[in-house]
Amino acid sequence: MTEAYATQKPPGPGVYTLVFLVLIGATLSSLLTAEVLLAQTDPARLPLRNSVIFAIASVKAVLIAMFYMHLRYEPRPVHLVAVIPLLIMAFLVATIVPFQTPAGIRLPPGLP
Amino acid sequence: MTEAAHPSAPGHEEESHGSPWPILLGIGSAVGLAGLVFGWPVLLAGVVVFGYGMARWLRDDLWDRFHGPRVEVGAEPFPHVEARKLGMWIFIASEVLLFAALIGTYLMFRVGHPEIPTAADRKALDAWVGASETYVLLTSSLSLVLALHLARENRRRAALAALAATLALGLAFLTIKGFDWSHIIPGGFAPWSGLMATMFFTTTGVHGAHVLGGCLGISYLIYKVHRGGLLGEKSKTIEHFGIYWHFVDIVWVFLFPLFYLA
Repeated sequence: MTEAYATQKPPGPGVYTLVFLVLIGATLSSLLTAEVLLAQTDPARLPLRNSVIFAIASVKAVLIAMFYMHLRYEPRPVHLVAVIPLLIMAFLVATIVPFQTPAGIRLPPGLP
Repeated sequence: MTEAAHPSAPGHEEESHGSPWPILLGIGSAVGLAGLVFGWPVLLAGVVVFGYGMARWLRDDLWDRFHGPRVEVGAEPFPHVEARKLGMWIFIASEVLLFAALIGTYLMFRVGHPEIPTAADRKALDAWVGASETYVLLTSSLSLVLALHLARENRRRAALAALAATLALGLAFLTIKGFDWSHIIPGGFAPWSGLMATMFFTTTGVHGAHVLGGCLGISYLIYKVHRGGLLGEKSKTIEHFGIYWHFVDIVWVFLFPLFYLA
């Protein structure tokens, strides 16, 4: 079997610590973004603010999965096991959440 | 399979994975959950059966009753992946779906009810509390990967220290949460006081239960390393536990902005 299909050697303390520093910095920057830079005074800035903080959270999650859960050092099929439930989650959210109104679920006109 | 298996030939160990105790875990959880309906005596009976089964199972493992070659999943599409690690990842996939249901429900309420979080909700959920919990969990993830590295290098005392730090940080997370809840619940932000509060306590409560379960797991790892186990090649167990612990960390990485910032 080719090298790409085997678990590779995990990293050492240097990589772990570097990732930790990035995670700490990212948390601080999301806190600063939400509480100081784009504080929720102006509703027009809410979408930008939320996009920034969830982009930061996603970067943190990918870093933890890749380096701490060693996903980066696992063969591709293991990545699939991690990604498939995320796709199911995206499907769940995309099919239900956008149609919520205070009166309940309202589907766009034209749908059966 | 109550007797310890002995190596039948050098380098060729007899396999023994058998244990009768997991079935008690199943019976105990079934009785315990039925107790949620039928009252506390049934619940207590379930907890006792579950605890006894767990204790006996862990005892078997502590005395190294389980032997066998490290199994790799040989079949496509998972060649050269260790079976236990793949099992852990599939378990994590099911956990993702559990939190997907909770987070999906919360997003549904947020989109359907633009009035939440109200000003009172925002006041109750202090971003700095959420941030400090985030820092504690991130640090616990670092100490756990360092513990894995040290255990792999057979540095038992250092690995023990790193595991103890991980446990302390996990308990610190739960302590901060306990203090926070004991302040906001009397302050009017209680599980029964509105949509936002209900979702907050349900979701972070389920997450907190995962942290508590993880703390119990780390305690067991500490005991086993203390007895000289889980070092060198056997440190794989710490790696597999770490997949769970870091996943719980990732969940919090999203719960923090969802409830405290957005």
